[in-house]
Amino acid sequence: MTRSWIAALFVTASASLASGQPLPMPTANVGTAPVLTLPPAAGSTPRLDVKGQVFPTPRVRIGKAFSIELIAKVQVDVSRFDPVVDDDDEALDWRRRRLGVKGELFNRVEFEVERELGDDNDPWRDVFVNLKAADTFEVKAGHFRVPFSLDGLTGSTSHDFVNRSLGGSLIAPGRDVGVMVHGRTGGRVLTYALGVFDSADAVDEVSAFVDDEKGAASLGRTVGGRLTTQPFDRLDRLPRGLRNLEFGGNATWSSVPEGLNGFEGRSVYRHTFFAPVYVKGDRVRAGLDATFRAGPTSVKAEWMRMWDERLAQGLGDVDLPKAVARAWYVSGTWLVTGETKDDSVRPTRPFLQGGIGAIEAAVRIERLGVGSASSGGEPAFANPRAANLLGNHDDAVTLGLTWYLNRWFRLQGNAIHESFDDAERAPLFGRATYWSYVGRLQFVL
Amino acid sequence: MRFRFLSVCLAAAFVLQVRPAGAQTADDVFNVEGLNDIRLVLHSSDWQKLKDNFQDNTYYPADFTWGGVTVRNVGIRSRGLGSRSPIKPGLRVDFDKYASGQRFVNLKSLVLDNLTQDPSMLKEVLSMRLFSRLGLPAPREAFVRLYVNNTLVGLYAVVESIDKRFLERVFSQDNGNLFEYDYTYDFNFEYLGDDLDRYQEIFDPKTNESHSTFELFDPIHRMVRTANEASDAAFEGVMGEFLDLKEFARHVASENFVAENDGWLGYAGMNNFYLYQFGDRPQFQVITWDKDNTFLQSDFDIFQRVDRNLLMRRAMAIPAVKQAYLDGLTAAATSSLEGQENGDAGTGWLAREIERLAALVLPAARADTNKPYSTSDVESAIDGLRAFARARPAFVTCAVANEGRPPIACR
Repeated sequence: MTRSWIAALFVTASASLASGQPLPMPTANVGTAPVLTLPPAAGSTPRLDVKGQVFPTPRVRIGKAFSIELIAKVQVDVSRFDPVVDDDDEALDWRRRRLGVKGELFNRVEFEVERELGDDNDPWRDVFVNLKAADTFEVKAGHFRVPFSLDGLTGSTSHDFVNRSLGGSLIAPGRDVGVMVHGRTGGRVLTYALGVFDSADAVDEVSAFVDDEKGAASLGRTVGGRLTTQPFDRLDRLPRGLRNLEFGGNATWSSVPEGLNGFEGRSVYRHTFFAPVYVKGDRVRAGLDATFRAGPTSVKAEWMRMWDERLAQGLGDVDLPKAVARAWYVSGTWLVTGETKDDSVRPTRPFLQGGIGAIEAAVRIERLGVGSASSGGEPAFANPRAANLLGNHDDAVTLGLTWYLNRWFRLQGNAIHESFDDAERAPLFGRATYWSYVGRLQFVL
Repeated sequence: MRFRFLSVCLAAAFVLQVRPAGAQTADDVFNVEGLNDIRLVLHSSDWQKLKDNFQDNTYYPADFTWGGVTVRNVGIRSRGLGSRSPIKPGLRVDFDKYASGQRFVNLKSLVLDNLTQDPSMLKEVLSMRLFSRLGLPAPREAFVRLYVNNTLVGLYAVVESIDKRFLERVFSQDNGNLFEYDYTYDFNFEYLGDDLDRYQEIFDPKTNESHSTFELFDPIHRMVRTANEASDAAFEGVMGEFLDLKEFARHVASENFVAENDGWLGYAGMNNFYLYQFGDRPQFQVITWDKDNTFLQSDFDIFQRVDRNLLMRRAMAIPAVKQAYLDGLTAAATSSLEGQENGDAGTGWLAREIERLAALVLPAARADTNKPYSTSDVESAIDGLRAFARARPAFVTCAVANEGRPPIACR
C-alpha cells in the first residue's frame, strides 16, 4: 500500500517535471490542502485530470475514475493499575500501528486494505470491496466486521473512550470473511445490513475455539444483521438533536463446536473472571442500542446478550440450560469547548493554531455478566458442566477526558473502576475492586 | 460473593434434601464391615479424557453418590505416583471444587485408591487397620465398588484424606501446619542447607498455604539441621523440641512390623507420610500414608535400613528411644496375635482380619476386570498375607527378645 502511494506520487511528480512546470511543495499549513495537479500534455486529448495532495490526507485522484488515499493509525497507551494484576500490563503498549489504503473506482466501487504492523498472527484488518449499486443496495465482500453492536462497529480511533465497552469488545463478534448486503433509505431513516460470514478463524477479541478431539476449530458460518433508524431524520422542523436520535437492533446466529468454547468473561484488561464452559449447538446474539446527539453532547446506550446452547454437555451427557452473557452500558460525552459532537471531532481552533483544540469529558457505566439462562432447578456451581452456572459479573465505571489537539492527534485519559461480584474469581483472588488508569496518544492520518 | 454464599447454602440444602432418612456419617463411609458402592456420573468425554491423560491432575466435574446420598458437581482427578493407571485410574474426589463449603458427611475430599500395586488388594486397608489399633494417627479406609456412568470400574479402597477434618478428629486441632511429603529424590534426612526452597520442594503444605515461606518451612529446616548438627550429648534434648522421639520410634516400628518397604525407611529413601506441626507447640508428628508396599516378607529385618536414615540412626543411639522402638514392635506383634487360640497365630487378630476382608472383597475382586493382575494372583497374594500373619509375630518377638545378643535364626 505504501508502495502504491509512493508510485502515485512519483507518477505525479514525474509528469509535472516533464511538463516543465515547477513541482508545488506542500506547505505546513495545517488544514489546507496543497494539491499536485498534472496539466495536460501538449496537444493531447482528452485531458487526464490527475490530482494529488499530502494534507490533510495523502490522496491521489484521477478524475472521477479513481481515487486512493493513505490510512495510518497509531495508538500508544501507558497504563497504571491499583492493584497490579500483571506487571506486563504496565508496559508501554502499542495498541494499534495500522497502515493501509482506501479508495474508489468510478464512484461505484469502494475498497480498503488495512494491515496491523507487528501482528504476525493475524495482521489483516479491513480488507474489502464494496459495490454501490444504489443507496438502498450495496454489496460488501471481504474481511470486515460482522454487523453487530453500535460499540463494536465504531471505529477504533473514533471511540469516546480508550477501550470499547466490555460487551462491544467481548460479546460482539470481530472481523470475518464474508459477504454483506446493506443500504439505506430516506436519508438515514432506515439502514440495514445483512451478511454471511465464514469464521475460518477467531479474530480480534473473540477467543480461539477448540474442538475436543481435533484441537483448533472453526466457529463455522455466522449470519448477522443490523437495522438502524433515525425516525425523525427527515423532519426538518424538529430540533437537530431529535433528528439525530437513532435506534439500532442487531442479531447474529452461528454454531459453536463442542468443547470448552463458551464465553469467557474478562475484565477491561483481559483478566478472566468467568472461565469458559462446555458448549455445543447454536450461538445467538441479540442487541439493541440508542444514540442521541445534541450540539456538543451525546448519550449512547446499548444492551446485548449472547446465548450458547449446551446440548448433551451435562454430567451423564444430558442437555443443559443455555449459557448466557449479558452486557449493557450507558455513556455520555460533552465537548467542553463547544464543538458539535459527531463521529469524528474536529477542533474549531486547533492547538498551536490560535486555540487549545477541543476538550471532551465522558463517562460510561457498564456491566458484563455471565451465567446460565435458567437454574434448571438446581443450585449454582462454578463447574463448566453445571446446569446452573455460578455467575459472575464485572461492573465498570469509566471517567474520561479527551484532548483533540487537531484533526490528527488526540490525547485520552481514562480512569476505570471495576468491581466483581465474586471476588474469588476476580483477577486477584479475593480482591473485588480495581482501578486502572490509562493514557493514550493517537495519531490518525 | 452473595451469589456464592447463596449457592453454597443451596448446594448444602440440595445434598441434605437427597439424604435418606437414616443419617449417614463419615464412620459409615469408612465402615469396613461391609462393601458399599460409589457411583460417579461424568460426561462421557470427560471420563475418556481423564483416562487418556491419567498423568495429569486436571479436574473434571462429576455427580457423586454413596449410600443413596448424592453430591452434585464434585471435582475428580487422577491421582497417585506409581499407581496411576489409564485403565483403572486412582481418583481424588474434592467435594468443594466447584462450590466452596460443599461437604459430604463433613468430608471435604476423599481418595479412591485403585489398589493396582497390591495383588492381594488388602494391604492398604489392613495396614491402616493395624496402625489404628496401635494408636497411631492413620486414615480410615474401607472397600467400595466404583461405578462410573453405571459401569463397574473395579474394587477400590476409599481413603480418608489427611486434611483439617482428619487433624480435628485425631488431634482435636487443625490450626497447625500440615505437609504432604512429596517424593522427589532419595532423601534420608540429610541437611539440605539453609535455602528454604529445598524443603519446599519436598514438603507440600496442605494447610496455612498462605503463610510465608519462612513461617512454613523454617521450622522444618531447623529440625533437619538440628538432627544433622546437634552433638550426640545434646541430640535428645534439642531434637525433643521438634519431635517426640519415642513416638516417632513407635511409628517406624509399626511400619517395620508390617514389613513396609516404601515408608520412612523406604528402599529409595523416605516416602509415604505426612508431617504435622502442631498449632499449639513447635513439635512435629508423622502421619502414615499409602501402605500398599507392606507385608513384603515375614522375616523382614527389624532394623531394616535403620542406619540409612540419619534421624532414625541418631535416635536409635538413645537407649530410651531404641527401647520404645522395640516396644513398638512388640506391641504390634501382640496386637496382631490378639484373640489367638491355642497359641496359633493363624487365629490371631491379623489372620482373622485377613480372612474377613478376603471374604468381603473377593467377589468384587473377581468382578474387577480392570485390575492389572488375574484373580488367581489375588488369591495367591492373599495366601501370602495369611502366611505373613502366621509367621511375622513370632519372628518379630524372637528378634526383639534376642536383640543385643549373638545372632540366632528367628523363624
